[in-house]
Amino acid sequence: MTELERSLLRRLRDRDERAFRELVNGHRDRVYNITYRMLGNTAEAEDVAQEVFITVFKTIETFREESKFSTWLYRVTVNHCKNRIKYLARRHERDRDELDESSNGHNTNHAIGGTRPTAPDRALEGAQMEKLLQEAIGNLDEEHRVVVVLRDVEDLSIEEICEITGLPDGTVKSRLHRARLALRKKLSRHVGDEA
Amino acid sequence: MSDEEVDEKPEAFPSAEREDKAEEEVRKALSGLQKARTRETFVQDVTATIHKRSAGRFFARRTFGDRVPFGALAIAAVLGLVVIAYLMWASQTGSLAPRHEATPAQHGSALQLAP
Repeated sequence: MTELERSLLRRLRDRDERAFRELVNGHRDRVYNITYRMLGNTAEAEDVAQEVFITVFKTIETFREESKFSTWLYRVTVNHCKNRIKYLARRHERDRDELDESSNGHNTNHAIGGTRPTAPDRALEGAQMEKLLQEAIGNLDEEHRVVVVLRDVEDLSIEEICEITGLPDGTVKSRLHRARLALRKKLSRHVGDEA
Repeated sequence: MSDEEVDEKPEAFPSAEREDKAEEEVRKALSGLQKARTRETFVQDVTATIHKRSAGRFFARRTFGDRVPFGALAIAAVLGLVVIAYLMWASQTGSLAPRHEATPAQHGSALQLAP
């Protein structure tokens, strides 16, 4: 940990508002990118990113400087994302139940994404691929989503992911392997549909 | 099969090789995803949320020096010193007032006595 980081931590523990702003400024995009890729929704991602920083500021005394500050920050981020995913899943189920009751058997379509563009030109391809990938990540289960986002989107090392998730090395690698294959399967299915 | 075995003889494990290739493709696609960025007002929004939730008690009270820039404080201090110095100089009793030597009484001059 650098002297600059130590000084920032000291000021954060003193509840210095300027230090808090510096902290948020320095990490906001990375934290938001993780929350966005984990949740796939900008509003939810921003809300969770805000909660992450509030939690960090509230619980800064519990950070014991045994790991890198960023590792601790990403652990908080991942935990918040997991909680939000569970909450959204519960809400989605409740909403679906209510909708089922009110529609009384009428056909409802909950598919995410809607229709796919039919004549994709070169410029659209990138955006479409991005959308497909995001949907595919969203369809992974939570434990696979975490490792794939941290490793392949955020480019963190396996060691860092182990520290963040508290999982052993082998588990992270096998989850990563399964997640990538699942993504590959989903993507090839989409590409196959379009061809 | 272990990773080491596959690394040593990839041709002996065609399915593993295919999987590796597929993984690599996915990895490349994922690392090429655009980086999502927060909106410009994100920092203010988080700070405002903290202020709102804690009714202003969450952050430590800022010292006077934190709220007023150092430059302004220094200028005010210098101006204050100049004003004090001027008052001390202009005042009859001030320690900086120029001293006028009392002229000695001349012979024959009337002695003025208080009534």
